[in-house]
Parts: sequence; structure tokens; C-alpha cells
Amino acid sequence: MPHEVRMPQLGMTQDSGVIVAWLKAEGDAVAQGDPLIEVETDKATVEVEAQAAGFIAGLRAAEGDDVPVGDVIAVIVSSEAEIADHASSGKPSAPAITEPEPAPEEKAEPPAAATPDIGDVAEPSPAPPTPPAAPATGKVLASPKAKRLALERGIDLTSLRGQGLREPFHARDLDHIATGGHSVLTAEVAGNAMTALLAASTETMGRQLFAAFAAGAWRSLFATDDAGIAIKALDGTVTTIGRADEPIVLTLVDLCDTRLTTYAPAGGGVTLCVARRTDRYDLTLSFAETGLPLPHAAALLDDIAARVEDPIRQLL
Amino acid sequence: MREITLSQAVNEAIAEEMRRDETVFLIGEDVAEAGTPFKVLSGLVEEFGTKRVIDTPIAEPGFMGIAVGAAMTGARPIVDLMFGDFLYLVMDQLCNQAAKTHYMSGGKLKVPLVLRTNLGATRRSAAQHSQSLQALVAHIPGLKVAMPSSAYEAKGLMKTAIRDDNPVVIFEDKLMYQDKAPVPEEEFLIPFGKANVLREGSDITLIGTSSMRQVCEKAADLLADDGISADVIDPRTIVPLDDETLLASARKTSRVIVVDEGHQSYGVTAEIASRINEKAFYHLDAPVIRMGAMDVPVPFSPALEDLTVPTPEGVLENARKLVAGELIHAA
Amino acid sequence: MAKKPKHNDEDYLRMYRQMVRIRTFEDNANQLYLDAKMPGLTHMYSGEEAVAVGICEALKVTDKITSTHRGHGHCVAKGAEFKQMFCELLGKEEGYCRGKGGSMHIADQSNGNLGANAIVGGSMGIATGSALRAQQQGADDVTVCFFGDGATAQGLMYEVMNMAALWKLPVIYACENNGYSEYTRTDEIAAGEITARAEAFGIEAFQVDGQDVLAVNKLTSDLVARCRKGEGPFFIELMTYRYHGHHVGDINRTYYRSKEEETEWKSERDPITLFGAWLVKEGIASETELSALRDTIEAEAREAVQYALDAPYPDGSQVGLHVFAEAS
Repeated sequence: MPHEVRMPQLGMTQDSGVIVAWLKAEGDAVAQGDPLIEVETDKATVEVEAQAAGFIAGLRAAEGDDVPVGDVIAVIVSSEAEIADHASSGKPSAPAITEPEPAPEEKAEPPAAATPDIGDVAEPSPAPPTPPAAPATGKVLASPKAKRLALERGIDLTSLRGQGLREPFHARDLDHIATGGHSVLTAEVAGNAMTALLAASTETMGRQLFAAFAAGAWRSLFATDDAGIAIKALDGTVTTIGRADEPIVLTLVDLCDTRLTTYAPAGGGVTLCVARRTDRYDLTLSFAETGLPLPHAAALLDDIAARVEDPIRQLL
Repeated sequence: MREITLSQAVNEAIAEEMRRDETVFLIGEDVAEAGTPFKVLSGLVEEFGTKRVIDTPIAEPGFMGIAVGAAMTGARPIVDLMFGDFLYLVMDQLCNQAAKTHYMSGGKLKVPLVLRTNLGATRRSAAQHSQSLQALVAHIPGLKVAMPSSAYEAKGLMKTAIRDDNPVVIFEDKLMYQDKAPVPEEEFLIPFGKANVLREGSDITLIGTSSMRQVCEKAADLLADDGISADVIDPRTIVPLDDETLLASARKTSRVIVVDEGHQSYGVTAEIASRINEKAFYHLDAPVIRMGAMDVPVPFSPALEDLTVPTPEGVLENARKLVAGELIHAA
Repeated sequence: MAKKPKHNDEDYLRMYRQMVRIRTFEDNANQLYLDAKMPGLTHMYSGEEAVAVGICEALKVTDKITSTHRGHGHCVAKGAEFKQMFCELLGKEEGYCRGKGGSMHIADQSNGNLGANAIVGGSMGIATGSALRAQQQGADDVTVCFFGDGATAQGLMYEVMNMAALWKLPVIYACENNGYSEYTRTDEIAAGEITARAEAFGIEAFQVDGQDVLAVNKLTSDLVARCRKGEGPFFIELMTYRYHGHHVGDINRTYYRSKEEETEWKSERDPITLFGAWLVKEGIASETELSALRDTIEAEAREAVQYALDAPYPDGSQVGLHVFAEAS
């Protein structure tokens, strides 16, 4: 019987805890009492020890996740043979997704490696030179000045994530949030091929496909392997696609099943809206030119549009 | 304004002070008729005679100690140490005797002497004639350390050093002796502990000692082509160090590169970077970057030696990265 | 019995008195250490009194000396006061160096003592430089550089003797050969003759009985006079003995010297006993007078010790003062 590792109650008024770091990886052997995770509560960051000996399996929460107290975040199994069982037992696939929305393509994959196509999103590789990216651990990386300015202006630095900005955040990243000026580019894309492809898919799969195209375009444009995508639903919930250590570069908003056409958040960052018309898709990219200069934005949207126009080629 | 070489500037400063104060004398190897290998002191013995321009045997600890004794009893000796590398030879007399006497005597004895020596690589002189050892002496309480960056600076700082009541080590860059700069004919002094802001910018601060000032200025020229404007600051003296000017600039630009030709580890750049980190941390938008000489003995081969010292291109590259928000070292 | 002229009697009595002052100072310093009332450690001059006194009695106040880690004797002989010395030994504010120097760094500028030095041989350059300064000024001041036999192994000595000889500086190198270089016999660390080292530079060198204060004083007076005329430098090897170990606490030392040897020096060659006997023999003082003099000095020392024990330590605010001299 595997031992369930749960988000512990560490304070009187604590509802949830943020996982700052996993100190053991899936498959690692642990002894009872070994430090297992670092958890950040409203008061402090504490190390939580393993309460059983065995092997870590079935991680269900990633670094940075805010997990309700009592939720199972991993199990400790008694033999190595059991690790695989738990890793593939229908648990959430992408570690950064707090609300599990498993896509069929990803179902059989362990958390850190999706399929090659959609899984472009999560190909592990060393950080490339441009744009450099710091690992997106639970701790927000920002310069001392950026931290001070954020404090002075009442800005939560975590809100900078998912907006196409690189970590560590610098002072100017805050400046362009403060100014909030957005530019908007729109592309109209012939939609027959995409519509046909999505006919048999769920809504979730469709979003993940758009996200994969956006990530692919970003990687290609900036010659980087780091291009995490956040998917923002209209109820405000956000899920992410990509490796746990991947910075979020763009937020996708899927308006396909609505009458809405565009959404540009006030917080800055890069947002891609997808809206479906009878025979086409309207893609709208909103961005701050201080962060993403117009030539880059134009190239990015054009590349995404090309992928949407001819999705089969992308998938092959 | 007339232009003179750094060598002439040092010579003028010493001559003026020797005329002004008869307790000032020069002592060292081949300082008289030879005027040192760099000819910096040529002509002084003709004016002041061999009693005040004293040639010694090749015995650095000996004449250093003699200078300490003369200073303790009322003279203002200028010790000529032919190469900065020979500092190791005089360490006891400089650091155990000269530096500590005022303190150990509860302020009753003074050691007003100047140790003038040099620094600087790329003269193809290999490991024992190319070192920049300012950090070594700057570490010792009781020693002041001046690092002139031009003929003008060399004259003003030398005159101040001679008038100071403490042991002062003054490092001239041996590759700059023939470099000319405008130097006024009328008398002037440059106070210790007051940095020189050579140009003002808003994006980054480049701090350069001695000839690294020129390296920073060239880098700033290149950065200007990118639309990046830099503060360039010459600390002039590293003991005392003008914290306030350096910190004010760091707070303004949020990004700092410190360049000094001493070995990078445990060096002058580390000290300055550390002070900025401690006192201006929340104004920094990037880590303070140190650029010193490589931590290797200075190699002889030009192909190797040139790799060991900071260059304008190196400063430029790091400055661009800092301004772009890119990381020079892993986060 | 032919009496010496009056002023000589005073000189002799002052020499006796100064030697007793040194011995008394050291006895009290040793006791302070043993009673754990003194921070750090110290090096006793006891046994070598005739060297410091014989030399310093040949000097004027404006003549300079440089001293050593075993320096209390030089300091007393050059005119220092007990109270300020004990205060310095105890790290008190009223010490000669405001408590910042301690036993190994006492300097008394007012009497021309440029300071003790904790680096063996470290003051040889300073003494030579002081002589250079006097020569440059045209003053007739002489500098005496005290150092031990151990310091003759330091290279600095040869560098500065060479320059002193070249430039005919008014400096006297006074080598106190007490037979031991720290914990090692001198003949194990010094090849050849000590005086030959100076002679190699053409410096006139002399060896003298360092337990005979009159012999030391006479030789030094002659050499000082010649220095003032520009005939320096000179070198003296003073054969003497330290009664204590290298430092207080160097108790078990039979591995480097025998108790019999120590006893012999103390009983047969003690400079104070010998000179006291001479004073009595010459009718300059009676045994009773000398005994009273010793008692007076002992009382003076006890008072100074108590004064120093009661004296305040420097305020913490002084720790950062005197790193640099302020502009005068």
C-alpha cells in the first residue's frame, strides 16, 4: 500500500501551501525523515520530511503550485517496480497544471515529456542564448531593484509570469506594466483544415493545439527551447503547458465557442486570442512593444497563422 | 592647456614638492643620474643633489626600512620601488612597520612617506615585472593607496601623497608614462577620497582604476553607438575610497561594472562590488560585475598576455548584457 | 679611598638606580603575568640591565633608540615612567601608546624611544633611517639600534649596515648576545663571529662584557662621540644573559640550557650585584643606602602597578582612531 504524501497543515490559518521545491525526484529512494519538499506558507518556507521510506512516485504537483492542505501531492511506494504504475496511473500529466485537463495526446506521457508534436511545448534542453531564461521555480526571480519597485507600487511579481517576460524580471518589466500600453495585431486565417482536424477533438485538445503552435512559433522565432504557454479561461483559471522549469512566454485565450473576438489583459505581457468564424480563425496578438518589438510580434503572429492554416503539416 | 606626459607630470610634482619642503627626499635604486629605468626622475639629482636624491644598493627591504625611520623622525621620504612586483620584498617594512606605527604608538608617531611604484601588464615583461598589486596593500589598515589614471591625475595625486602624514602607496601604470594629457602649469592638488566622474550617463556605471579608466571610457564610447549611456568613474584613490560617489551612481543607473587590473579574485573589484551590494542593493537591477586580470601569473607570450587583462571590448560585451537584462552568470 | 668627583658619583648612582628600576619593573611585570592580571605575554629583560643602562646613559634625550620585543629595559633606561609603562602593559588608556601597543610596542617619543618591535630585526631599517635623518638635518643626534643575537640571521641587517657604512651614518648597532635565539643556542644559529658580520662592511666592531655597566657605558660614550663627529656607524656585541626564558611562561627550558648555567650567571655575574659591590667598594654608596634605594624603587613600582590596575581601559570609541594621522 503506497504511502500518500499530502500537503501538510503547517499553520493555524493555512488553506494551502506553495511547493517551492521538490527535494526528491520521481523514482528517488527516500528514508523516513528525509527532506522531501520545501513548502511556502503565509509565514515561512519550511522543509517537509518524508513520513515513510520507499521510492517517490506519481508526483501530482509541480514546483510553484499552490496546493490545498490535505491534497495528495505524491506517493511513496515500497519497491522500484511500483514507480511506473503510479507514474502512469492517469494522474495529471503536466506538472504545472493545477487543474488537470489531460489531453489525449499527452495521456501516456510522464509529466516532463509530452509527444513530439504537441510536446514541442516541453522538450527538455539546455537554456539557449537568446532569449535567456531562468528556471521558473516557485520563487520569482527578479532584480533587487525590481523587487523594491514592485513592493513600492503594490505589484505582485508573480503576475508578471505568463506575459512573455523573461525571468529574472528587471525594473523595466514593471515599467511597462505600469504604463499598460498595448499594441494589437490581428490575422485572419483560412480555417477549413483546422476545423476539420478539430472536429473530432475536445475543446481542451483544441486549445492545446493552438498553444503548441504558439510555442512552436516562439521557439522558432527566438531560437529557444523555452516557451511555456499559459491558457487562460474566461472564468479566470489558468493552466500551463510546458516543462516545469519553462518560463511562460505567452497567454492563450480561446474564444472559439463564444461570440467574443478579442481580449487584451491590462497587465501587459503577450496574449494570443483565438476566435472562430464560419470559415476562418481570427488570431489577435496583444503585446507591449517595450517587451516585444513590433517586428518580432508581427513575425510571431504570422508564423502562428501559418501553422493554423496548415495544421497537418505541423503535426507531421 | 599644455600637454605633458605622465612621466613629466610625476617629475614635476616631485620637484615642486622638494622645492617647497626640504624634508622631502627621494630614495631608491638608480633614482639619481639614471633617473630610474623609465627616466621618470631624470634631472632631479642635478637640482637637488645626491643628499636628497639618494641612490641605494639593490636592497628593497633595507631602503624601505630606512625610509620608515627617516619618516618617523621628521622627513618625508619618497621611496622609489622600481617595479610593483617588488612589493613582496618590502612587505614587512611597509605593512608591519610603516602601516602600523601610528596606531601602535597611540597616534604619537607618524610615518609620512610615499612609496611610488607601478603596475600594469602587456609590456611583455612576464610574471615578475607585470603585476598590479594594489589590492595587496589596500588590504592593510594604515596605508593609503592612490591610482592615477592620467598625467593630470599623476601630478595632483603625487603632490597630495607627499603632503599626507601617512604612508601612501602610489601606483603608476608603467605603460602610460609616455601618455600625454593636459596639465595646468599652475599648482594644483587632487584630494584623496574624491572620485572623478568623467562622464555621466543613465544606463550603466563603469568604474575603472588607473589605466582601466581608459578602458571604461573606450567601452562607453562604443556603448554610446548602441544608444547606451554610461557613467564613467575613476576612484582615484582606493584607500580612502569615495563610497558616496560610487553609490550615488549605482543608485542612479542600477547597473555597475568595476574594472581594475589586479587579479580578479579577492581584489579591488571585489571590494568595490561588495560595498555597492551592501549599500545600494535595492537599487540594483543586475548583479555588479567584476572585471580584473585573470587569476594566472602574467604570461610572457603576447598571444597569451593580452588575454589576461580587461579590454574595452570585454567591458562592452558585459555592459550590453547587463543593460539588456541578460545574465552574465547563471541565475 | 679616593672619591670620584661629585658629578660622576651621581652618574654612577643613576646607573645603579636605573638598573634596579628595570629589574623591579620586570619582577612586577612577571608577577602580573603569573597572577593573570596582564593580557598577552611578555619578554623579560632581567639579567641584561647593564646593556640598556650602560648604553642609554651615554645618550642625550634627543638621541634615538629602537627597541625589541624584549624592550622594557631599553624603555626604562631611556627615561620612561613606570605608571605609563604599566598602563601600557595592561592595555590601559593612560599607557604610552593609549593601550594600543602593549608590551612589544612601547614607544616613548618624548625620550627618543622610537619603539619596541615585535618583528625580530624589524627595527634595523628604522634605526638606520633615523640616523640618515639626523645626518640630513646636520644634527649631531645618534641612533642606537638594539637587537638580539637571533636578529643577526635576518637579511635586513646586512642591507642596512651596508648602506649605513656607505653613507657614514651616525648609528650604533647594539647586539645583545644573551646566548639564545628564542629556544636555541646562539652557536647553533650563527656561523662565524658576530662582530665579523659588521667588519665585512668596514664597520668597526667591538665585543664587550654586557654585565659590566661601566665597561658598556665607557665604550658607548666613546663611540657616540665619534658618531657625532661623523665617524659612524659602529657595531657592539654585548655579551649578556637573560634570566628568564624566551618569554614569561617559558618555564621548562632545560632542553636548551641547564639550571646550573642560569644559577652561575645569577650568582656570579649579576650586573646589579656586581655594580652595587663596586659602588660600596669605591665608597660611593653604602650597602644600607643601596638597600634603601631598592626599597624606594620597589614601593614606587608597587604604587605604579596598583595605579595601572585601577586605571580605566580605553573607551571602545578609540578602536578606530589613529589608523591614519589627521592632517596637521
